[in-house]
Amino acid sequence: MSEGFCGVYEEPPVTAILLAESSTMMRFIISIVLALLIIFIFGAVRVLAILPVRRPTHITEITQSSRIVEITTPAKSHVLFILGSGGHTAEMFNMIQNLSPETVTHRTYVFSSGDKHSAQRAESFEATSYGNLVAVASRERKERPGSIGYRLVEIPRARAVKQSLLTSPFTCLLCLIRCLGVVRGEDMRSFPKQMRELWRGMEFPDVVVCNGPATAVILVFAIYIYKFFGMCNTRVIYIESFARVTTLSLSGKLLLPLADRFLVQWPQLAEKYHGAEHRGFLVS
Amino acid sequence: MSPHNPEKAREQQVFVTVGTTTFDGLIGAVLKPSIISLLHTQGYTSICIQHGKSAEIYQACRTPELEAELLKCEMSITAFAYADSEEITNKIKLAELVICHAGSGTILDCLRYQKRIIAVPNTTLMENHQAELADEMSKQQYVVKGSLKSIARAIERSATYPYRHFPRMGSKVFTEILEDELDKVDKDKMYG
Repeated sequence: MSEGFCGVYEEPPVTAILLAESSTMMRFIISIVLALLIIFIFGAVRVLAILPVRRPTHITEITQSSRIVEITTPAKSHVLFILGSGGHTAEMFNMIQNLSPETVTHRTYVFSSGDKHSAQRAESFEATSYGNLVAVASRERKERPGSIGYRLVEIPRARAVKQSLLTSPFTCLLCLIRCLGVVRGEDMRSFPKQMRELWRGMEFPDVVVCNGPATAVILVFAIYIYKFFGMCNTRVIYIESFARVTTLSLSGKLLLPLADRFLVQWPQLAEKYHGAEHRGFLVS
Repeated sequence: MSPHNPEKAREQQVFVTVGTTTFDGLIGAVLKPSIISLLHTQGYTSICIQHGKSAEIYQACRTPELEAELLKCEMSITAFAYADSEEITNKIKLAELVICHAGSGTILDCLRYQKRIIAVPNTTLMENHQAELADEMSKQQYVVKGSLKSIARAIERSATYPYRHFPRMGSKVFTEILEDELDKVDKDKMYG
């Protein structure tokens, strides 16, 4: 085979063998490069396909009419809320104070490890907003949205406050692994049996709502890994903090191309960053 | 009006709060005899201070001159370091005027109860955008922006300032957006 290939050169046999060897090496390298290129192109096309396309805000009238569909669709929905630290958590619960348990039947709250305050806020929010519903449901022994309960999960911090840059890739990876588990609903195995039944088929969240923390970036990244393989079509809503008037936060900048809805609370930001949407204040 | 008019007899409280941050300057700027007498002329009868880590500054500010002024004005004064958010909200509810750092949480709390707000940006904080927020909020007439040097002027302005009500629609708008997104997910599920 090598003779046939190198015969055209009509050179002494020793060189021919050397040439033949180097050409098989070359072919091997080229095929590897080609394979990688093809994988890269497929990957890039896939990523482009799953990245959100945000249309200008004025088309909202069309999306409004889609509400008619709502009546016929199954009313089950799973929303995952990512809680940050103090200010972010307060803003989150401020925004979702009017959310009815009929709209969002399955609720997951994610908080960073050690942030007991956010976990408590989630518990008290559930107890005061939806607590009555749970009580009613158990009394009537009927399956009501409230009896589904809620899910509260802890995720290791992507980066501690004073952590060195050297170890942060490692903690980010730990965080990502945990996020991959949470998005898939791994922790649901430890649910009580009745609750596990009610959460079956609802493992992947329909919508993720986040407003700031670094953990949010990692969790959204985890969602994109699943999206890449077509395992979920979760939509991401990001809300920039009310405190941000003229510049986006770091999390905001990172999530700007990844979020399906990117909401800012000051018009200056919507003008400055393409794809940011301003619908007035979302806190009150 | 008689002195027994309930409106007059009611306590008119000023609440000074620094949130969870350290803001020595604000404590020092408010606790001055001249400020106390100004607050007295505006009808305030008591002052409550949440000073956070600045307990020492607070003690240092209570000079004999200040004590004399407090006595003269019959102004009562209370202070504490930190409290949970419910307690802080209660204090805001009780107060007529809130002098606070320009943190978004505190400002929103005050706006919810439609209090007169003087927001003083804490410029000593790094990586903080309090000044921007205070600027924009005062431009839209939700708060009076104060600075450590011009607290007196800010207090004078706040007395007659036409404070605007902060819109209460935020949560409703957000709920609409979330419902829209859930609808889109449902449609994706139905039609692939």
